[in-house]
Amino acid sequence: MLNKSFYSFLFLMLFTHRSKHFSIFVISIILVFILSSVMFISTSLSKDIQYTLNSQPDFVVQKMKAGEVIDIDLSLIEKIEQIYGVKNVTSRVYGKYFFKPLKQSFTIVGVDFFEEQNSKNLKTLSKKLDMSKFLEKEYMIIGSGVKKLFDKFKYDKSYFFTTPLGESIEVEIYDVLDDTTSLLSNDMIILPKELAKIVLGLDEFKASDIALNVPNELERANAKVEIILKDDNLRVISKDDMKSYYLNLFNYKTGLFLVLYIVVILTFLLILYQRYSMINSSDKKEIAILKAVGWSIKDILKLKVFENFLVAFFSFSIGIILSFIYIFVAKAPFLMQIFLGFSNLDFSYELTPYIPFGSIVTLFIFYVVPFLCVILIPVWKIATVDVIKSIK
Amino acid sequence: MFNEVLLSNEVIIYLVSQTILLILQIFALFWVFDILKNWDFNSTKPKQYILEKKSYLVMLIIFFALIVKIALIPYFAYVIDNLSNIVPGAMCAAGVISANDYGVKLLALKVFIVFFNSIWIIVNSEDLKEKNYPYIKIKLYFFMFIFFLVLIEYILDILYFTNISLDEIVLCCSVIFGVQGENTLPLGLDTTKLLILFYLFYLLNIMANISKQALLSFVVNIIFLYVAYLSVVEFFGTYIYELPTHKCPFCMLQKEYYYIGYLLWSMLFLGVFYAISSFVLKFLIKKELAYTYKYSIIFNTIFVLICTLYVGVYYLKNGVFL
Amino acid sequence: MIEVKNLYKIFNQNKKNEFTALENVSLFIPKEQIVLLKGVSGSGKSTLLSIISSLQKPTSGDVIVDGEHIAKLPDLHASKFRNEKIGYVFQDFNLINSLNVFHNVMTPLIVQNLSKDEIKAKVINALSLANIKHKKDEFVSNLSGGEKQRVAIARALVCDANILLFDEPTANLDKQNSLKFLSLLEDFKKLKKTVIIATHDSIFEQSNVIFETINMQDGKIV
Repeated sequence: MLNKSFYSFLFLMLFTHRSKHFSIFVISIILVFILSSVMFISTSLSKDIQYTLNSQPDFVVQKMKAGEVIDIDLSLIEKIEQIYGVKNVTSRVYGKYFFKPLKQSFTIVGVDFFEEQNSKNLKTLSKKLDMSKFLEKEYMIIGSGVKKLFDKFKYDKSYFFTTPLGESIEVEIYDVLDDTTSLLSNDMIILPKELAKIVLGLDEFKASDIALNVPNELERANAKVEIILKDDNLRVISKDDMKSYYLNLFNYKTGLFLVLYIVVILTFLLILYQRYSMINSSDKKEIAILKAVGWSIKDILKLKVFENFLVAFFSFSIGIILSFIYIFVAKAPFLMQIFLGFSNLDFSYELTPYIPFGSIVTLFIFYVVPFLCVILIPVWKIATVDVIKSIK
Repeated sequence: MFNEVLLSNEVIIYLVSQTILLILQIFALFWVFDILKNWDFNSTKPKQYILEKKSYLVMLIIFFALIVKIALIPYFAYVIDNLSNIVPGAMCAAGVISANDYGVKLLALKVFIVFFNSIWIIVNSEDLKEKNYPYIKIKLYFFMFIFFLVLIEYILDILYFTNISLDEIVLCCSVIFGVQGENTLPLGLDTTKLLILFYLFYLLNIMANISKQALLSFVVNIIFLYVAYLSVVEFFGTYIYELPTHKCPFCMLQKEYYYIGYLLWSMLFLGVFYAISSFVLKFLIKKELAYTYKYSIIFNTIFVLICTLYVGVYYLKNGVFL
Repeated sequence: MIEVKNLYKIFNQNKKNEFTALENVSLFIPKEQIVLLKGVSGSGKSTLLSIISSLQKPTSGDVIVDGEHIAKLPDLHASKFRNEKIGYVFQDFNLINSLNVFHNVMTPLIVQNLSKDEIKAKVINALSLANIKHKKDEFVSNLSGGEKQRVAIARALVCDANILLFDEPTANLDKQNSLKFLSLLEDFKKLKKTVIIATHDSIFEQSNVIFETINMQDGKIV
């Protein structure tokens, strides 16, 4: 019976009864909108972080003391370079610098501009990089959040860092990072490595940690073991572990949200059930008339299930589309603040539009399956009305 | 037992859906008891007509459950594939599925439940075609059997997901399916013998179906299912991935291979399903439905064609075999 | 033809408000004839009609319509039978008020596997037969009593059913429309339909196409 005339009739009935479905329709759209917005933001953020992580080195080696990370000795680099499969061993310098006026910290990143991989990454961050000019005197490249704060305190052209040894160094602002590229660069200050060491108080022959790559996946497990053996109290963090960790974190947070949202959904389902169970007499009469002209229970069931499915489907689609517009066109005001909940550093980070097909399927199953489930019994009740009694 | 796996969106939603279905089917079970106890077709009391209406509700629930369960199988594959991002060592669904003992059993049970559920639908439509509900008791007892399987599946679902450790490293498919020189094929078969068996059982299947031998077809297809699975993993899959060491039944479900895995496995399942159903129907309702034989031939043939084509196209493109 | 054997219909059996609507009703209605079922309201006419059209099931007895035993048909078969073989016109017409005339007449055809053109042709044909084609896009709620009845008749004719059942067709009509209805009976006779009319209106005595009058009282044939 699933022929064209059935579908036309179905749409006709749906349209005729639109006021009955209206309230459910609107509530559904709102619910889907909220849920999908949360999910889309989270997948978008996690993708961005994954992308950023991808440019990280495969392994990071840190020296530990009493459970805390301390500066690592540069002599380890030579030892690590000898391990089979290891490539591009570099030392990294970074740390937090406490900005007294606001009682906040910036992240200081020391960069050696002649190390191959660094300049590639940096080039994408700062387009105007003229190496020779940058190395003339003490220059820094700052993130947009840093710039805003500096402006607030009238540090227009330079800033005086106070080193842990008590000295004061003036560093001029060379460039400001494009704030739309990365979440992580917002509160960052990039300095040449040796300058960073001074500002952060690191010894000349030490570094914050050592980064290296092991291009061949199969050699990684082996390399990790060998690195650990090179010195006592070494901690080796692998990029794969990091990825898992962040993904898990996102999973965990959105999962928690989902569990709480289930309470909302349950309430909605109760309302739904109640609404559709209230079969008023004119509806009953209509169905009884159809049965009187020869529609079987099976036919009525098909009609009603499809009718409800269409309501669910359309409200779902509109909810999703609204969500897209909200996030990727209007840039998700309010919700982004909740999500990123970072420091008071103001930012205008843009989410990369990412259409997660899997997430949409997940949302669809989450919404449509309980919806249809709940209307099964009301639909059956209406399909099995007694014809003679209802027609009176 | 409470771990972060359970908090990933997809797992939550998957388990919520399964829970809803289970609850629905528990309700259905109560009504089924009522119908079984009191059904009397010749009675003209109102109770009998109420029972007839109740049986429609049971039909509706089972039909709905089937549709959702069919959709949940590829979704389950998707959930597992997603988990491979946070389960250490896993690179695709294959690793996650073998994270504990329950995984493979769960997957196999799911397929069986869909099979039986579909057979129920066929029995039901045959029952409705007659004028006196001849198969009502059979189909309701059959439902109780299916419900029992669904209950086990649900328990396995929970056991499986709560026992995926995020600390232990799982095996990846190259170890599971034997790349580093080991031969994981049972009975000491090698690839050539396996292929011979594959085509042999396919031909046997065709013959059994043409001559409408339900029992023979049933036995042949069960064996064929297993042989085909091994063949795809050991041989045909490598031609899909164009890599002789990539032996995995799950990766072909991914975008890179144009989702061919879904088509491939569903053709196999449909072909085997129709062959099995011809026997089960004969057993349950003593009826032989000609179309089951026909569809079995069609779907199994499409399956074998796709497999063979991948090999053939590769050979034509490259002039050698892997 | 329609054969009814020892039909009983008892409501609320074994309860305090037990009511016997039909008691041991047996009758035979030959093909292509127009038969009158006469009796006051409450005599069981409507119940008899609803059982013959399989809208209700009897407590005991048999009903054979064109060779088919319909008393105990399951819902799927009963609906198919009603759809293809019976055209029922109710006393209150029972049209769907929110739809227009065309859609109302179309409703029995949707469950058959017809193409859109076939459906349109059949509906137009039925509308012409019932003389209401000119109002096909009008909403039912805007029609007069007589027009509504004609829509109901068109709906009853649309499936080419051979058996037409009328429950008090002239009860809601004025004198003029009742006479128009009488002339319709002649058309039905020409179309070779088997017709049963349940009524207590004496206007039918004027008609000369009535084959037989069956009188009912308190659920029994008298």
